[in-house]
Amino acid sequence: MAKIIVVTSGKGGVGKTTTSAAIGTGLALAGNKTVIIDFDVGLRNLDLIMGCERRVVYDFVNVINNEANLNQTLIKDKRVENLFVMPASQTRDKDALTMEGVEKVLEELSETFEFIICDSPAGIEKGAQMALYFADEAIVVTNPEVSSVRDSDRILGILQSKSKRAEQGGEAVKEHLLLTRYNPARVEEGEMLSVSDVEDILAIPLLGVIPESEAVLKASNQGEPVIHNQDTDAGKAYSDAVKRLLGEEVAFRFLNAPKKGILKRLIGA
Amino acid sequence: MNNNDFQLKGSVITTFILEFSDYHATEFEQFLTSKVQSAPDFFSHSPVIINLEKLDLNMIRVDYLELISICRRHGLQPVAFKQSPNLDSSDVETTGLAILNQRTCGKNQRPGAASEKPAPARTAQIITKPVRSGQQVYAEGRDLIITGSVSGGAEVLADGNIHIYGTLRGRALAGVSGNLDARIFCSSNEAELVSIGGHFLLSDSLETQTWKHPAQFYLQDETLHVSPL
Repeated sequence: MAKIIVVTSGKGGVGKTTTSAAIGTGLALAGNKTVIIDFDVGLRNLDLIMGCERRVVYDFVNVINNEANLNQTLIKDKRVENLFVMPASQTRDKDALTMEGVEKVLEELSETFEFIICDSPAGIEKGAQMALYFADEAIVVTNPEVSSVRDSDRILGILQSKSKRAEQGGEAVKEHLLLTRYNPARVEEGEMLSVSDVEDILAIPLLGVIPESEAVLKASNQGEPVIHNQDTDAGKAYSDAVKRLLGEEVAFRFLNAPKKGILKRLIGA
Repeated sequence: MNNNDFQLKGSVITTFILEFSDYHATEFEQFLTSKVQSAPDFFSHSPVIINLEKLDLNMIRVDYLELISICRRHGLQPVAFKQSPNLDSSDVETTGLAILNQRTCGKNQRPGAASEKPAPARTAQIITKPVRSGQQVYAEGRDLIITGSVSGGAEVLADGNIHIYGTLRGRALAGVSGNLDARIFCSSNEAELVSIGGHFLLSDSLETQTWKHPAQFYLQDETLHVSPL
């Protein structure tokens, strides 16, 4: 049985797709057969971040409508063994997803995969609810600013009331907090919420802190998940998060601003 | 002996109550005469309780036997006296009628309670998870206890008191059905809005000395007060 993990946030633009790509790639690099599903029907992005946009033939909606089978639809990653992408349809909207269809696809994928990463669309409407409904675990992606924290709080409430596990009264969905675009220097200036501020409000375990990094934008534009670039802080931080997700205990890094050298202090940079 | 031959049951019976705030035998007799004449069948053989609670028995002498016989002459059947429990009841006891006082028949007792088991108190509703933004919790007819925090954009309501052992960042409304004695307690006050019985305060006026500190909210003189805990 595969473990179904939804990457969600409520708010848009906080790094859900970047995180789905990085975590999915990290899990596959660790030897787990992993598929990343793009639930953002109509606003397909995951294919770009994964660098497979030219290889999309069939999509998620085709599978739901029985117009294609899974093998025709899944795109095999060129860099990592065991990693597959299920693209969303760009020409349809969220109404094309049905609960029965999504369930059928997830059940079929569960037979062969160890991890299914559901990349949720923004918002709290149908698309987001479909993405989280069947989840065993949730990675809540949050930026250290108040509106993102409130939206994450809202989505946590939905996870606790509208997921399959919540409705059937079983074990609750396991929640993880992933803080992205973290800038320790701005936290010290009081311009940004700190890790402990966010933990205090959301009250769920911390999976990782990804520092704000130019490498993330570059990686997105090149279609190569940032976790491949282990020379960058963001890449290392995602690797740490994947290890924690797999049960390893890893100390948190990149939480403090680097000390400025004497020369930088003199020129005020 | 068959157990069904005798049964002790509680019951509620409607009776007249004759209430005295002063007593003069002749005037009382005139009063009864005119009452009974107006509706003779209505009063005939009616049981009646004589209420002396409003009568200042230190100032006014009452001949209880005379009072009873006046009633009986006009067709009423006195069954009991009702008087304040802290008065000496020995004179009344000599009449042979029952004496009801507040211990057995007072206002502070619910009707029919003598025959019923006391209803168990409604326990508070307890929420052990954080109340998230967009969620609403309503404890109908009872208190609400929340062991975690109430997030910004969340709303907790109760007909009774609200206790929050985490941080109150959202809205808390106690006494929503009009209980003005309800209170709200929280371990840290960062509330958006606090209301008791419809009287409310917004965070603008809450950001005072108890902000981010333990606080309680209560109504006094129709004004909502905040005080540190």
